[in-house]
Amino acid sequence: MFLIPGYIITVLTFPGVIVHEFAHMLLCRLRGVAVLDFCFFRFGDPAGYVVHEETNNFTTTFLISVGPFIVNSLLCIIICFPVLIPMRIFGVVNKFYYVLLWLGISIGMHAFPSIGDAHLLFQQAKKAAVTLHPLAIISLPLVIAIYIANGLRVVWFDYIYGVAIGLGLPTLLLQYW
Amino acid sequence: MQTVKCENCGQQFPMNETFRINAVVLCRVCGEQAASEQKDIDIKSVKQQIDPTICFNCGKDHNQQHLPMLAGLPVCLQCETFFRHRPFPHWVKVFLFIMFALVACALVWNIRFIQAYVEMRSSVRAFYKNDLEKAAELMDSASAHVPENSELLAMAALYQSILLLGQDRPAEALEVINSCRSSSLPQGLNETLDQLAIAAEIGVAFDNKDYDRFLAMAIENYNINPDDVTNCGQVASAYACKFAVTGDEQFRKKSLEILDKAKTLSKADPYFSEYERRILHRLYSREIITRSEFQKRFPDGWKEPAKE
Repeated sequence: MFLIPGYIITVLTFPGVIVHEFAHMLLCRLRGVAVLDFCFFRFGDPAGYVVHEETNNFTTTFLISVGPFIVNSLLCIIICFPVLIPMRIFGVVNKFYYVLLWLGISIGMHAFPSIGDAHLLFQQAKKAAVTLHPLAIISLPLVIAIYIANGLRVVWFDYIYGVAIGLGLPTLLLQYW
Repeated sequence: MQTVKCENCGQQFPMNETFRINAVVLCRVCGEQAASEQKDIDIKSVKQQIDPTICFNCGKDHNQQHLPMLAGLPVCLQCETFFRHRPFPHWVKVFLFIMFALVACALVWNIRFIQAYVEMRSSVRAFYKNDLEKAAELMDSASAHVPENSELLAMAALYQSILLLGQDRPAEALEVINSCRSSSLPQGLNETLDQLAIAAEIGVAFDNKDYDRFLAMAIENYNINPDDVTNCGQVASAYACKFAVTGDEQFRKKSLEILDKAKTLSKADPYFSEYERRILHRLYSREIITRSEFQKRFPDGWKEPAKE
């Protein structure tokens, strides 16, 4: 295991950052939440952000926070799938497949909500959990998972997740199909 | 627009140009003066006053009409609509379009692999349902979609040869097997092809009435796996052929011995039962006929006539 500065990984996997922020903004739009400011990619920390109004509707907060997890994971699978069968099943390889794999895995790597997203989710979940909101209840362990996933980035957990979701899961599904 | 009075200089100012410092409303000049005099002023105690009648985004003055608040800031209806339906930047749309176009191209470009995979899986399922004809056809089609894959080609040949052997066409089966032989194939697949090739060669020897070769090949196959019903049956069949041709009782005896072993191993398999009847018929009549001829002559099976 070797360490590469985070900003280099972010630059190399920039499509994932764009899709992550796109997912946040898409969910804001779908739930009618005002977007005050946004940045889809920049050379800085954070590499992207979406500033939106706070909402009292916990379902909306939940969807906006976990939106990238769903959108990035799904896109990762969709992008990797066309090259999965030729590469993994039939052993046929060409350069274009590597481009798609890079794109898919880059997007999968940025699926996990950021610490900021987790923090916002936690704050709102604490309030909503009092009313036994089901999403709030599942949010509490989810927040812990997000913190752990972010912490494990130093050991390439985001890359492992990208590969697992883009290649591992569809391979498993194909085997049982 | 709302105006407020500076509590220091007493002049009226637009609300947006005033500050609240420690609960005292001051204009910009007085505020700066107060800040310079009190060096240890807490920045949190300084708040800019916000006029609720002026949109913070477009700056449009709505006279005395209080605007709705968005994230604590007054916005006009037009700006609120804009923020709630904020359009994605064009470059993001182009980026996503290119990405989806790439995926669509990849799907179209690789559709033959997907078709091959679907056919391959369906073929394996058909094989396990003993629908050999369908299995061979599907595997052949899958192999045609991905001709660069030698393993798929070998699998197609494997199914095709099993089908041909089942139809008593060993020469064609042997040709199919030999056409796909490759050292790059996985060991297991190569071993299966080797076994099928021997079975096909046995069939060819039988068709050519070369019973010495038939017997030699059958024994070779038997030695590889002596507990296989088919291998035992083939040796019994070969000895029966030798008996039919030579009339040597030794061959008859050996045939019956190994047929007994095969019968024990077969566990009442109906396919073997038919094979056994053919061998027994050969031993009884000393006539060598093919399976199809046997089925034609004895559609209800053959039984040794009772000795009088």
